[in-house]
Amino acid sequence: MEYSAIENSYFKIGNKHKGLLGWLTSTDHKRIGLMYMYAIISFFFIGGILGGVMRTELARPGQDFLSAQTYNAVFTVHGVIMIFLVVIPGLAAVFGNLFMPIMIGARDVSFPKLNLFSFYIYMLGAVLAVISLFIGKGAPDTGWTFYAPYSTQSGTNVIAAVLAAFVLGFSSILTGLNFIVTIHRLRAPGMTWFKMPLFPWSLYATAWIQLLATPIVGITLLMLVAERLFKIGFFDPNLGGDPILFQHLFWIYSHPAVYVMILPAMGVITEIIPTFAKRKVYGYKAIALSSVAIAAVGYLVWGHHMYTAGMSGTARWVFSFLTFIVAVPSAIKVFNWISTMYKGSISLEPPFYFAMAFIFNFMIGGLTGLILGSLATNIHVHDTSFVVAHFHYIVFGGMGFAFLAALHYWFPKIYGRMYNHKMANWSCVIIFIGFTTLYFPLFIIGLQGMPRRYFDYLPQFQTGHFISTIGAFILGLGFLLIFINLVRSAKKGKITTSNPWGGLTLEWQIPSPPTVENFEEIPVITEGPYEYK
Amino acid sequence: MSNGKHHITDYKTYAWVLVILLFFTALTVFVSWFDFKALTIAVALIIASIKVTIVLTYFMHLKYDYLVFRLMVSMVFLLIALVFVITFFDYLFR
Amino acid sequence: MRQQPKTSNQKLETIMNHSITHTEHRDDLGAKMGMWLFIFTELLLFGGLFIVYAVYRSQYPDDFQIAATQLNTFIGTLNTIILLVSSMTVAMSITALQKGNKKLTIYLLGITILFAIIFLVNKYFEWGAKFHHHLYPGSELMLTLKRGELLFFSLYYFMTGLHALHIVVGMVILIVVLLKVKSGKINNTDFVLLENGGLYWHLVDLIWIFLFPLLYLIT
Repeated sequence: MEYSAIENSYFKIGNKHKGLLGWLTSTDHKRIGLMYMYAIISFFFIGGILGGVMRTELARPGQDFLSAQTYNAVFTVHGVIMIFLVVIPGLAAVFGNLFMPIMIGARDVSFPKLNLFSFYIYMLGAVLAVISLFIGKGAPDTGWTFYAPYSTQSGTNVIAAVLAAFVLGFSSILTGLNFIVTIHRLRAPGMTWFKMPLFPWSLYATAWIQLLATPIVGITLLMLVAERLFKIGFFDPNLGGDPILFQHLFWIYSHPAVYVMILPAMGVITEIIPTFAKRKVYGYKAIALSSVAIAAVGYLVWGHHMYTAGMSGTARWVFSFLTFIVAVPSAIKVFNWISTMYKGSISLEPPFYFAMAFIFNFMIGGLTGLILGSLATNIHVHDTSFVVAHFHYIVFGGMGFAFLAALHYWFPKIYGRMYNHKMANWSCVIIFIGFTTLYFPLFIIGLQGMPRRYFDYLPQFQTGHFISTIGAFILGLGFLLIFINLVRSAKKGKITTSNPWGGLTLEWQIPSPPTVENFEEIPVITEGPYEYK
Repeated sequence: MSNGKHHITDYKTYAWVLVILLFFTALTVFVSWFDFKALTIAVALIIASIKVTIVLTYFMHLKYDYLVFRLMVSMVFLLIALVFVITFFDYLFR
Repeated sequence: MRQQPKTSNQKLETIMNHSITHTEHRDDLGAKMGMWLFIFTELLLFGGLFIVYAVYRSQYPDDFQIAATQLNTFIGTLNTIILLVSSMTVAMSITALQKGNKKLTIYLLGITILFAIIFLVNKYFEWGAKFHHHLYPGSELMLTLKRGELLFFSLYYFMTGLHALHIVVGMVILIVVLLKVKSGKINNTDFVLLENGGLYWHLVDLIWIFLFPLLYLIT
């Protein structure tokens, strides 16, 4: 009976086209979500390999196999790919597309064609980003932040990379737009705002950031292009411009972009914990509203990236103050997750392990964020590898682990098959060990004064760098294990039931994998999403 | 279908709105001949804001449309204003 | 205010046919919300430019004033009037359609598009005169100007250029809308596309309302 579920699912039945074309022209949110997933995982591997190359170069002081210029290009492209192609679209475009409409009881998003269109814009941006590596005078070497005035002068392919970021931003905007309208308009009858599951809530807050922050970086990057083409002088101090203004505009987007990454990650964790603790989520409203609060306050804290850039003293303390405020709703979420588990009957399955790893990493990432957010300590560690460790703890340890958690949580729903639990647990452990070994030493050498983005260093930092490089290889091993496990299971895994984890949200009430239309009858919602008895 | 709620605005209303907008345009050109020192830009921006509010309210139907649109629009303008204020915490105190 | 999604069950037959078209359900409010959200992104796009303008104007107030005298206030005012009138005509076209007067709708949309063209022609002459005086981004004369003046003209070209681009896009949208009114796809029971086209056109007007005093009237 269950195998027939796969036969009748969105996998087998598409639109009027068959095979690959049926996927490429599909406006089904699940197919688009999966296409995003395959694309994003591919780019993650490219970015990961670039990261591995950097780590290998850094294993020993001195030049090993990368020249300084190549190293600059590698960290720039690593950043551009990981930020714009992987973590920003990551959870929203993949799992948001796959499950948000189902979780609110809809058959699709509000604008399915626009959804497909934004996928193609994403691919266009990806192609541009890849092209920037190979054409012209070499890969961009400005860092993913494109700081002026160097980015206005560097002879490398800055324009291509900048346009890639611009195009990708457009894709992000359209996804956000689509999600906001979908959540406003297509919730199932009876599903009031406060009966909506918390993953859609986090996507709603995220979508607003995507919508309202991305245009700012769009215009900034366009100005940068114009500046390079016409010597306009917006940001070049030789022509009267102000490079700090570029940083302002850049971070007005790029700091909220951090929340575009982490908010859906928090949403995923909020789904996973009640399912495996079999308890009603603690403080539903607090979690829902804290997503909105993070989005709102998070928009206004961009300056904490610029404490040493030469801002006025007033601006510095204002930004520091706001930064501390934004920590409050984040902490609320952590407290609520832990309270949800308290006295729960916890079943230890792979998604839960990943979720635990997320909370642990996110705590470290968040608390080191406060060290960076307070003025005095920031001056000491600004632009050191402490910062590198901090944001990798948030982006990778947070968003990355949440992505893995989501993948393992919804895998049976996506494919209708189950993976090997033992192997999944082991890969979680190995990835966690690899991750910690890779990034924790960077905190220490950062405090000791190791600057970021340097391809060479003093011998005193060697121990830290060497341990870190070993961690990178352990991490790689862990990913290999996950990859083997999931790819094999997607094809040959055991057929699973529609609700293997005993979840209560709507996606678990329909067959695995879902049918094209998700629901035969749109459900009528009468109670909250996490009413475990 | 809740596609209803369609208020039909008179031609006359629109014409009056245009007259008012043209009046404010003339006003803003007129006051630009005088020098209010530091207040010059404030005056220009206040007049522009009035015009924008009129366009939003009548031409863009916010007055007759759903509350949620009004809330969203106000939120966006508030946000833009906040970003300006916070940016100028830097530039005014350097 | 929430719409009740369709509970009708047309899907089983379609699954049998192996060809699914998602049940197209009309949601005018959703479509309009989508347009508003898009307008917000446009507002923030220009918002970023206005921040740049504000910062540099506060840093180089005198240069900005001197540079602004080079702009043609007459053309600026004329274009303001043109945009305001065209905003009215596009708004009226919705009333006309609601009252079932298709011919008047087409007529009003046509006038709006005509105004858009006149706006662009004016812009062409305005820019052309500047180019004639070698005052354009990247020109040698520009690089000899004072810093604040250079920034003013750069912003002038960037902002009005981006705005003109929006005029062109708005024009294309209105042409599409006009054709759809003609073919009857947009009619007095289903006209959300016309409303959205109108909203976009008003956006172009909104931005100009701020651009006009900030660029032309700071003498």
